Amino acid sequence: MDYEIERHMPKKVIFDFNSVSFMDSAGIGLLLGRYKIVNMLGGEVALINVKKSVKKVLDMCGILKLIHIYDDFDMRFNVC
Amino acid sequence: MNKKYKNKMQLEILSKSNNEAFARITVAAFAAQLDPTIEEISDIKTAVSEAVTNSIIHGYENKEGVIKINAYIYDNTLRIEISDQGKGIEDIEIAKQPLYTTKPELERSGMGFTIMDNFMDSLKVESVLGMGTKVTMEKKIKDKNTKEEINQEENFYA
Repeated sequence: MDYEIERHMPKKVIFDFNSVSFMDSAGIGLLLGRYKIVNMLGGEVALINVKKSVKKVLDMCGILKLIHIYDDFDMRFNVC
Repeated sequence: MNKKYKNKMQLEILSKSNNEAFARITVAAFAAQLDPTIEEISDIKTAVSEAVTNSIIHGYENKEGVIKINAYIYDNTLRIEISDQGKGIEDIEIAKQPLYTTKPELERSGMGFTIMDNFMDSLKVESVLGMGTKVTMEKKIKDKNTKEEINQEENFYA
């Protein structure tokens, strides 16, 4: 994943959490690691389709100050 | 909590990361008899996952060891004890600080104990260097009447 990010230097890296039903601090560590690389390259990390229980962990860890959650609708219409 | 428990479960797993999901699902299934909400079950699973992951990554440092999980039901409270015989924690208070990690190279977030503390009602960590660590957590599962009152209040203010 890091190789692809460094190769393409995307403005946005969007994680679709549709299949993610469980999140713990290991997942937070993974997201923060990707955030550091993307942010260093001037891009933004976003999440879509985040379940309530997953959002609770993200929120508690303060990661939502760095990584935004968007509605799928917003992504489709390039609002974000 | 010294009074007699209503029910008990005991689980021993090897410190392999693919046993982590098994442990959290097993404890959640045991807790189901208290009729928890989906949110309460999710909180319990996350807390168990954090404690078991700590034993695997930090306690045994990915070497093979045994993790013991005991869970008890007292009235409407679930008590979970997760212990290992790993390397132990040098300074528990520092280890409990949010974002503190001894393994930044592994992209650990350092939020494990903070998550356990926030998602459960109580958290106790006991550790002896070179002997191991025991984490004890409790969560009171709200009874149905209380849950209905909360739902009604949420609907009222919605």
